[in-house]
Amino acid sequence: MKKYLVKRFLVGMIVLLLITFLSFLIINFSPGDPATLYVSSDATEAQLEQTRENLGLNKPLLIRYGHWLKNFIQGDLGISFATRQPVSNMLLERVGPTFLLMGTSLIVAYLIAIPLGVYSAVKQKSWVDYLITGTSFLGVSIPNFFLGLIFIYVFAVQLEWFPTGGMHDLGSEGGFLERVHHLILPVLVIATTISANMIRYVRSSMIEIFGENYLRTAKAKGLKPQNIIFRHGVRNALIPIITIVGTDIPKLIGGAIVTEQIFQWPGLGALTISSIQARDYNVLMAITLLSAIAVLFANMLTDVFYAAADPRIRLNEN
Amino acid sequence: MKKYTKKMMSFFTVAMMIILAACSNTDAADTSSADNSSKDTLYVGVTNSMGNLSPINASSVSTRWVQRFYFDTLLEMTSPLEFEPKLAESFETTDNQNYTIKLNPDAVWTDGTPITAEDVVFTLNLFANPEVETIGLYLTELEGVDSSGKLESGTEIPNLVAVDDTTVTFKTKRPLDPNYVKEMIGTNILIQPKHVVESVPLDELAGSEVFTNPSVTSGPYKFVKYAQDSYLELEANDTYYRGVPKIPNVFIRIMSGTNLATELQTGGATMNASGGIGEISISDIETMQNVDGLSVNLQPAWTNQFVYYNNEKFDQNIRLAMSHAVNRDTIVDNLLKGNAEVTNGPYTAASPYMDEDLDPIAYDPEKAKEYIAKSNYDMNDPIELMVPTGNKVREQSANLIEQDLEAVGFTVEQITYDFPTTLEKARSGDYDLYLGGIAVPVDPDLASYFGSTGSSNYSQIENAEIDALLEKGKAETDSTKRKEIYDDFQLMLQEQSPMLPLYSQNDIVIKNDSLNGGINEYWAGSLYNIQDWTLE
Repeated sequence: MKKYLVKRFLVGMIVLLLITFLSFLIINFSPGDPATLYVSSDATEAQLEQTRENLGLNKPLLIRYGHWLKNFIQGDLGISFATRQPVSNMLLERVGPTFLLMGTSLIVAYLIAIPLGVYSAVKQKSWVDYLITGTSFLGVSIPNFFLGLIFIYVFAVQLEWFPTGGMHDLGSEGGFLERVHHLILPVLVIATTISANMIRYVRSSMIEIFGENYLRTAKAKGLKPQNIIFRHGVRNALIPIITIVGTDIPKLIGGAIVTEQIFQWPGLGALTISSIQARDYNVLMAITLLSAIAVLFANMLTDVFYAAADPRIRLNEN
Repeated sequence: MKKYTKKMMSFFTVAMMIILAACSNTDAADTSSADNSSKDTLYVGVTNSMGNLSPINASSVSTRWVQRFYFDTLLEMTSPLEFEPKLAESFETTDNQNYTIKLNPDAVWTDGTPITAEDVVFTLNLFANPEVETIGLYLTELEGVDSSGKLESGTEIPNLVAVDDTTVTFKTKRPLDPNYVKEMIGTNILIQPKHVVESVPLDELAGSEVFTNPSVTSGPYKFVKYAQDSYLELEANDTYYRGVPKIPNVFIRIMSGTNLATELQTGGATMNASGGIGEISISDIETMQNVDGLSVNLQPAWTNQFVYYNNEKFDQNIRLAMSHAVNRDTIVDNLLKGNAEVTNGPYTAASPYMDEDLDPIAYDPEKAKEYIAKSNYDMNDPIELMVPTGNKVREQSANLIEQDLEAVGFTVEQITYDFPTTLEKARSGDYDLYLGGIAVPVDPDLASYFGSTGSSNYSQIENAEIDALLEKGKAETDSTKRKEIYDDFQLMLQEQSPMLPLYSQNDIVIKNDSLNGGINEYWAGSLYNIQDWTLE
């Protein structure tokens, strides 16, 4: 296992290096001269040239990459073109809110999806099953922005139960309850989509397990139905679910761009959009890297969990 | 388990009822009132984020506007060409070339130090310093300064003198309309505290605390905090020389136009910034008008939309043909629901220099075909219409323009890019037709857009007659005579048709009735009396 992990880690590093190079190329080759965005509309060629120089854009691409890589290894992500602030400070400010929002959403989503999915599978083809699968189908089909706007309109504007957006009230640092109050609507929106998807996975995974021989054996042994479902059914059904949870982890960082924007959530999603519009190369590089690391890390974590949950996988390794 | 299903059912029933109630309740929504605002905090909604907060190098309009809450200029233009004193009690010239500025002796920085002539001289020299990246072309007419507004390395602006603590004198290269000088130097440059800024090395200035988290400022409000892309917090400056602001706290909130419309209804925004940086969608105007406690005002704006012709690719006949082929009234009536004016020259109705007697550019497809017949242009040659994303109305107008041009026989293809891409292509002249806007300045000089050496001459205009008129207009010092020259300029632009003016969308100004104050008819001067605004 240890050897396996070390191998995975080393491969991950090489992949990461390749990713930095490729994303540097893609970001820098995207059309649009960043310098033109940071001067006034009547700027002269001399002013543009000065801005290019200050942003480090006047050097050849490969030299710029080398420069970037050297700084990156030393832990320096460079300066944002748009704000002229260190990128690392900007990222740190944004990662927390996104993590909070997405983490809560994922947990809420699983808490809704797993019981409903299991129940739906147990009561397969009953009206409850149809209701749950029908509703989850609806949940998958409704776009986030639409649901978000409806929630804001109903619960914030009309009923005034929740704030329209933001992470805390303006002018206050935001206590725990205030945070929760602000979290509820965006979390509900994101959790709806994720859990709607998840319910379908859990349900089909459960149904598949029901057809397995060992469940028939368990039944034949005369075990209690609860025991069959939970000890033998759910535990085995969760193995494929781990893969899905693994693919969800990068979302903790990537965030929900649209939902963040609608709820004025000061997270990474909003930063990504504004950085693309502002051709803020260094910020884009940092965000890409962060996502890449999250994906690599999540894949590794999934494999480890997999091995832990399913002895067969562990045995095959050896 | 049965119990559980019952609970589920009742939950869904309640949820459905709420949604249904909300849907059938739209009438009630329209009369809902926006009365949640507090008395001591003003919430201003802006849609454009502030990027770089440097007061000498902020490229976005929203940043430059927000900075006026906490940094003062020498003068403020409260309506076109009307200058009111701010840091400068007077700003005068006797020969249109030598200027004397008298500073308000009561003005102090927030740390208690008086604001002196030394600060003014320091700030202007900082702007002109070639080692420092600065925005705008405000100083180009000062002696010793080049066309980019920069000095020779190591020099200072000659004849810029701090005569005593409150007097500054300077000299322009040639006699100019004093209004131009007052606008450029008086209203654009945010005076900086010498004793604070000079301690920062020039190459560290851009991202330094002094600029991004300023503690020594001069304006009616003090900078408290900026949460990027979220809000900027300000508090009243209790040593402000023009009176302590009556509203203690201000939050500039950054959000999308859709959010802004919602926040105006709930009181989360007391007003929108308007002026192109705090806009709501045209389709939301009616909703806003029906909300109790909000007043909605539509007023002429300064941004003018154009079809840029690439003058290197299209001769005068083809340009005139296109100009007569496009039905601009349909754009204003259908897409803007009448909330705009059709423009017939570069200036909008807000500008005192717009020639009201100018004949409209007629929509006349027959005339367009006549012009086409005069030219030997190959009508099968596909023309690319380059459209930047981001402005919905402009994107939609591209379809109408394409249809109109094809109706007279042109072959048009639309290409859409995001704004940075179109900007780069437009700058390098790599396009056929381009939809873009110009924020028209109060001073009528448009040499940078229409002059052959202009820095923003995206249309690649090379016309000696236009150049001569622009030069004549700039050199004239008398406002009335300048107006005549620029009337001729507008006529000539119609004859030459280097670009087609389309429309100028009205500014949508919305505020909560609890606010006494707010946006003026002349948007840029709205903050002049902010210290007297109150909330009921």
